[in-house]
Amino acid sequence: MIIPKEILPALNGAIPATLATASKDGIPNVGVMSQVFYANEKQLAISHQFFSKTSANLKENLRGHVQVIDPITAVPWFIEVELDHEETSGDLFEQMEMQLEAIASMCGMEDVFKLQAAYVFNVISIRKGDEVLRAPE
Amino acid sequence: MISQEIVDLMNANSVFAVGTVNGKNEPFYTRSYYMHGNVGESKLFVHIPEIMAARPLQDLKENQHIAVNVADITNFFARQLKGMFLGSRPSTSEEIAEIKRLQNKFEGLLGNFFGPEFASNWSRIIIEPSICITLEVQEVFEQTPKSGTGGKII
Repeated sequence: MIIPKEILPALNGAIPATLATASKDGIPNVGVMSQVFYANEKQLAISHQFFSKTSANLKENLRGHVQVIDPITAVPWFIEVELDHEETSGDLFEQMEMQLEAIASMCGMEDVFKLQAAYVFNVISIRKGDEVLRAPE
Repeated sequence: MISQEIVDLMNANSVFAVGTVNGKNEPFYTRSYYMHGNVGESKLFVHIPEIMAARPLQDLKENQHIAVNVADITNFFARQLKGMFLGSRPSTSEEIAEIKRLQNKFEGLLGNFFGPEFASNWSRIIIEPSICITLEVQEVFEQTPKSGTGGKII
């Protein structure tokens, strides 16, 4: 699945994203994510800071469902993902670490937001949810 | 069990996220625009715009487990409640009036954080008609971003 360029504003970290995961027993978990990062045309990366249940779920069930929101239009994007691998060093990790520092600085969480790993997901599907907004008056 | 802390959090400047899972064990996220419950009780009422409700309702037919995240956007204080689906019904006119009140309140709040254009567009989200999902809360987890997040509280 090729990630459309139109989604890029929603990946700038201005509006927190949300990630739903599930355990192998089918118990859902839903968490707020600081950062969903464009890794390449087929993959997104999510910052792993301290979401312990999310990490545990992804070890036993690779699937996730992400929502990101355009910071101007408020249009949500719904993204089905599957965990591919995690990175704890390298270019992607460093780029995400830098962006996370900027996000933390904007919201006064410099001492809290520390990147542990970049979780890299294959994108299975992307849907722009503009049907949830009324037409502008 | 719903504590005073959770009721206070739901009445603060909070956003609500709902997690469900279908029969193939594929998770799904949906936004809620209003949640309420009473201190000392276990029933929680979660309102989802009908336009967003088809997938979570189908998921809940296949798998009754549900998770809801309540997070105050002004201070990041957050809790996750997990439990079992009990049923669904249309939101009442009184509940829809409350959803509209919260949407108006958030338009002002979001304008401060993300700018007036985003806030104005946010207010265009179609919140009516709305579906109320009832769940029985069985577990509560710490969700505030900090060391120890994810720990079980109840």
